[in-house]
Amino acid sequence: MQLSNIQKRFGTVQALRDVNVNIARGEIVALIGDNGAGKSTLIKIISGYHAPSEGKMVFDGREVRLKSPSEARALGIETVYQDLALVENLSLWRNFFLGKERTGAGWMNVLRRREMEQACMQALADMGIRLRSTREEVGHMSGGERQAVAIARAAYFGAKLLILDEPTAALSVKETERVFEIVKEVSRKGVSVILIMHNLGQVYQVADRFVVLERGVQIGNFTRDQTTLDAITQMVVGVH
Amino acid sequence: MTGKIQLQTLSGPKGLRWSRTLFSVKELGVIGGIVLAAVIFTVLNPQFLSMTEAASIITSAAEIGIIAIGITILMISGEFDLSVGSIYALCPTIWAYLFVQQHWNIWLSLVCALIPAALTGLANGLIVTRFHVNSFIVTLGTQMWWRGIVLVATGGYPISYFGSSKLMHVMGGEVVGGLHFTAVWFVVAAVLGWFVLNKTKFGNWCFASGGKPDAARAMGIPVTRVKVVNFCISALLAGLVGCMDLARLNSVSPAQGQGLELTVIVAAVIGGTALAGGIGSVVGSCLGALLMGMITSGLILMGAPSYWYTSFVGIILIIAVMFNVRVSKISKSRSA
Ligand SMILES: Nc1ncnc2c1ncn2[C@@H]1O[C@H](COP(=O)(O)OP(=O)(O)O)[C@@H](O)[C@H]1O
Ligand SMILES: [Mg+2]
Repeated sequence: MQLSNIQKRFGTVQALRDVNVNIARGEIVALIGDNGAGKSTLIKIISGYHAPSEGKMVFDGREVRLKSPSEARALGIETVYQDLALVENLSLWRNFFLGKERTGAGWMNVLRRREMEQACMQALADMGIRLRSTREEVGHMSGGERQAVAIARAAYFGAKLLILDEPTAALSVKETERVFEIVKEVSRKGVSVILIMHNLGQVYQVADRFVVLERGVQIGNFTRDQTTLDAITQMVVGVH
Repeated sequence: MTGKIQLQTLSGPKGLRWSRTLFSVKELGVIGGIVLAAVIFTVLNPQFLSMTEAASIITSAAEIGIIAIGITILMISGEFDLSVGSIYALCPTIWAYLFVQQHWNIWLSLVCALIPAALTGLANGLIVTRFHVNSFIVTLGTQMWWRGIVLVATGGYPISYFGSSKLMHVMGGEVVGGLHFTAVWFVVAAVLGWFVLNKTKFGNWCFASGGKPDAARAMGIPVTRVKVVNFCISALLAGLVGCMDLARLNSVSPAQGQGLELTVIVAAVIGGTALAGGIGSVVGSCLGALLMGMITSGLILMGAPSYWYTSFVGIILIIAVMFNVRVSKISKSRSA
């Protein structure tokens, strides 16, 4: 995916100016910056919630103008939001296939339960996620397991670009590591990933590239070997 | 492959596994209530276990139960319906007016009588979802509106019909020994409701829409449509049960069904349906309706003034919900 000269204005507020990012297949890009820097605005443009005021988006070699989140999803751009990923009172397999249920023929749309349970178990196993049962309610699972499931689901349904908004915000260190392993697994399968994270120490462990925003301006774009944790920390917290 | 192995290792000692299974039965509270009510009423009057009694319990349970099934599906998808009591009076009134007083075809009259129910459900649903007015308020409004209309239109007088008709027979006639066709329709509605909720895509969408509407929307579920459809189902079932009652009793009173909306919500809640949406079961609500039927019949049998019913149900509601909250906590902590 290539973003060139992306700008976004909300009335008189210039939320983004001149953002240029290229994301390669399977690359993990960290989007970093202080509150109000424009991170959320940028991913909302990429996931089809906002149209950019100016600029060009090229996805899979073709220029795209997204009009809605569902258009983005149809292209393979999946976004996992912190709190909106799963329905706690539904079982795992029902969550996994929510909105994309496999059903038998006929107007009743009878769920093909066994098939979905197996596919869910298999898809999670492929990601290295072992769970007790796909019949467990998601509300009984830990935060890390939930995040893992949400990411695995996005990957399973053909994501080419996966956007994760604060995926480790409420997780323990151990759970964060599990989520990172899954993110790496997804990227090995050729899926590009955009990570929004506040914890620079953590994100430095996984990301291949760092895009630093400050008040809507892209003040840095480095690959991992072009920079150090200290350098990007300086950039984000540094006074301008 | 690994799933099975891990499941076994987690189950732990036999006793614990057994008790966890027991506590994970959502309908445990209402089953306990039914057993308790049966014991108490039988001790007070052994007559309670007779066939006549059973038939009368099932008859009142059937009418509460069918409406409760609609309410349950609606509550699972996150909304309430207080208009069912009035619709339960409205539809049979229209039906009787058309075929008794206007001599219309009885089938056509029934269809025409149910149209206002469907439209009320549609209006309830659209106002709730489009104008973001709480469903308590909207359906309280439609409840009052229709009650007033029905009372004005009939002048407060009941309409009766003592002729015979095949349609009326299959809707509310006697099957055998005091058992009415309403019981058959109760079973049909229960099986259908259970199937739709647990085995179909729509059922999945209902639980998701009530459990976490924003997440459901993010996954592409048409939450608004799900809710509107369920408002219609709820209203239609209430209208249909009203008509069954006319078929059974040969008479419809414009005042009938006052307080019925609360009775059916109580039946659903006793059966484990959550007020906040996302949780509930048709089986639980049917058992809840059965318990309400038992209380009605038991109190009549004891010769207690019918006002006792209200007090009794109030206490049972509170106990049942306390119990359900407790049980769901136990089952959660055990399986976590
Ligand atoms: N819908 C909106 N309307 C007006 N201003 C907005 C809107 N969304 C974001 N902004 C503004 O754009 C800027 C960037 O916000 P945001 O993208 O949320 O930053 P971040 O996610 O990096 O904290 C902020 O100044 C914010 O006030
Ligand atoms: Mg933000």
